[in-house]
Amino acid sequence: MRRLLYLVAALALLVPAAVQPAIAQQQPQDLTINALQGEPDNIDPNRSSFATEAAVIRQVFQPLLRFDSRLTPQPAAAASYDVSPDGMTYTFHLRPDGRWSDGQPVTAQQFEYSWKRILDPKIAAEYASFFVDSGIVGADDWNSGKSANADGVGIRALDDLTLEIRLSHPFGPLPDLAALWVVPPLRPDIVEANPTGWTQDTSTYIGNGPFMMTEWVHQDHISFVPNPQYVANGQWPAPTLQRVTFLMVTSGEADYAAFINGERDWTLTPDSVVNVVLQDPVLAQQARQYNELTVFWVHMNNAKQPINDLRVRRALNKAIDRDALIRDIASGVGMPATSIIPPGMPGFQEGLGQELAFDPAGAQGLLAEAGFPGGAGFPTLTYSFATTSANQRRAEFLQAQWKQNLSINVQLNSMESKAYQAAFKDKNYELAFGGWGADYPDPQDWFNTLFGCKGGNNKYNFCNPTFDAAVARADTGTDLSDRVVLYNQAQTILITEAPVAPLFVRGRMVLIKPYVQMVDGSPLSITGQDDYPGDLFLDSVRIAPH
Amino acid sequence: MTRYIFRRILWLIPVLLFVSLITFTLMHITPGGPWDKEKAVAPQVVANLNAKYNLDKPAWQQYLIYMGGVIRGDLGPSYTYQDRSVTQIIMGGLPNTASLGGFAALVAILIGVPLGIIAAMRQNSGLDYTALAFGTVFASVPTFVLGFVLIIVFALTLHLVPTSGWGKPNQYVLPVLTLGLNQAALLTRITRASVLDVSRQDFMRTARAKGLKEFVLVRRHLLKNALIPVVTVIGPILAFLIVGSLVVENIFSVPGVGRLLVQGISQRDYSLIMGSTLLYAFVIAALNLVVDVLYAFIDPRITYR
Repeated sequence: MRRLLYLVAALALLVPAAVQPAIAQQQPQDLTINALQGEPDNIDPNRSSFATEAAVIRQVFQPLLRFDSRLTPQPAAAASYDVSPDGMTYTFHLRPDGRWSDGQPVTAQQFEYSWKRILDPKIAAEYASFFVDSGIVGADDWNSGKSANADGVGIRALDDLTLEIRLSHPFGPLPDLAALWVVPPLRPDIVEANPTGWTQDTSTYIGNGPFMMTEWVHQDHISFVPNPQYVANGQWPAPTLQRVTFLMVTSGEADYAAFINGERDWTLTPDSVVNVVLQDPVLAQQARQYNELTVFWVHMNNAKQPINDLRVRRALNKAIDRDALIRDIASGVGMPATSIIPPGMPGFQEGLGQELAFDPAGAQGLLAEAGFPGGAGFPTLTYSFATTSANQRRAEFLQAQWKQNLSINVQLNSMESKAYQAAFKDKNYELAFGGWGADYPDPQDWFNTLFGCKGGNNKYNFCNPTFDAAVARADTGTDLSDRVVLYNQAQTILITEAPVAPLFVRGRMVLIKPYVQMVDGSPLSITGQDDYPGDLFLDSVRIAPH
Repeated sequence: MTRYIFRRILWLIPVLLFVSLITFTLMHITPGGPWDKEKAVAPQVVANLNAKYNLDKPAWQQYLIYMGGVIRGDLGPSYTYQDRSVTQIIMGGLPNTASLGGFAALVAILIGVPLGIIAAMRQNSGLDYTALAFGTVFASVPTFVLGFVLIIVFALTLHLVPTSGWGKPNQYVLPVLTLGLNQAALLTRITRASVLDVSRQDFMRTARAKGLKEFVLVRRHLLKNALIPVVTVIGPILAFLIVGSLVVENIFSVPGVGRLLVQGISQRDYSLIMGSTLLYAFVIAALNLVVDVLYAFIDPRITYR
């Protein structure tokens, strides 16, 4: 999924009055975070797609399920769900105490409305494709316009508290989709009364989540206070914070400066100051590093000479010193990757991809076998990338590595962002830089679309029927451990065929003041898992006395 | 004079039409569209989005639809900030950019012009050299460098003002200074050069010979003559301050319109690009008109028919 710079860490600020009543009352439970890094495009849940929009929506709304910090979907608005033995019917049972902030009860009809609306072609929701691909009965016909209405879609409220979803084939990750922020309950009376304006007004932008929005000053900030109608449920407590402000500071350096000046309690460290932070004794204590569910790699156009030769692709892989890339270019933030799936996702295999690891002698041998001993006669390839300072540094690093270890020349082609994306979309490149971030924590999101013969994101001219067969069985399996075995087979094919050159897992560093804590007083633990779903877990955060 | 002003206002219409046509053409021939992202958007979704925003129609039809909206005051929907029209977005940010630009203009004029006059009247004195140094240094330092230096000195070290934000009076100080000092330096140099030029003229020597005091001399004889080149420059300076504050707004998190155009271009948000460009064109044309009218008041030799 598209990620902006902002990584929402789980900040736990809670001051339980039960523990230290006298001191707690003096401590204002007020948190300001640059959570948005810019104006959110669209906070209509069905139509949103960015991590920052998710951050706002997750405070105000609560979907059927919710990811915990291990990325497992847990009961939220739904107290439980059943799956039929054939894996094609899911029945969600809502908890009866769910309430909107205006006191109305949360009903299954509101979920039905929301799930059908995301598939509505007039809404043009970007995330609709995931729901279509999941095999919901009638979803494809409705979203592509073949059906005139949503009556044939397999989403039905059996009664006020029961929602049934019917699929045309088993789809293991359906609970993941139910935990996404794009399908919380929606109120038809509110949305239909003002289809484009209901999100702009705090009196109509109401939800069933732990917080409610009290003001939206465009380009500046959004403020939240606790939702008085929200009750603690399952493992989700009622919030302790009394006021949360999401800022929209577009300059990472400016937010960092504000943190240094004591105006913030939390900030994302810009790449340029990572080294400074690590060398400062006080700041180093406050810094937390974690890795995202995002992997970057060198795209390779498998149809171009000589990249179509497997030995050349392997040689290009083995000539990159990924440890040096992390150490020198990323200041140690992130980790090297020789496979596609990042750690933290089911399907990640430690140590996979050793055949692609740094081995200059092996790389030179492969290149010689392919007919270019010592790099002689190897054409000058073009490496394209979107112009940013980080991409420029990485590009120069790779160019130097290939020159040094393979004696081949690579020309750098820095392109304006959209021009690059348009060229890549049309497979108009030889080597390029990009990657993939998880839309939801299931490997199904990674294999078919990127490397399948008909995959919508397969811009590599890569097609391997054995791979497709393994992935197809894995995608429609029901048991996660069985599916992971099949995905591992698929990953092994990707390592052997090397259609791309994996580079690194993206990491982040945040600075957090020590008094920002979890409810139970434990220090904030920030992992890539907290980042992914856009969930700040602010309902579990407190500000300790300081 | 009124007929002249009226004619100039009428001229705005073909100017804006021309600007809109060029912008529209350039926008659509640039590679890459609003839905091109690193993760390919599903073809069905792209089709739905194009239908929703009229992008599946031929270019000339899109242009006419857009201009039809503009005449009615509707600058179209934004593709980036869906649910908000470009008019709303611009009207939301314009007051902030205008006040930032307005204060910066005040700083520029109130520092630059008097400094230039005094420097010229005391030519080759220490004050003159200081003013020249000020003029050179602050005209050369890029805005973002100046901004960060001011933050480091006045916020991080001296803790006199906050580092960023907008709304409270103490948050105005640094952004206004960053934007204004640059232009103040420019004004100092131009004013100084102009005053030096005028004060060498014969009528000035006569006035001095008559025994007029410096202050009266400056006020009655020098100012109006020396200010004509200054007024020429103030028009574009004001235009820049009011619509060109992108860097300052970014560093200090001022919720204005400065970044809209750049953002629109990089997102290929066609409505936002057209709306911002039309806004700039209008502001620049209007300010040029104001400057031209001011000439007539300053210099009685100038009349308009």
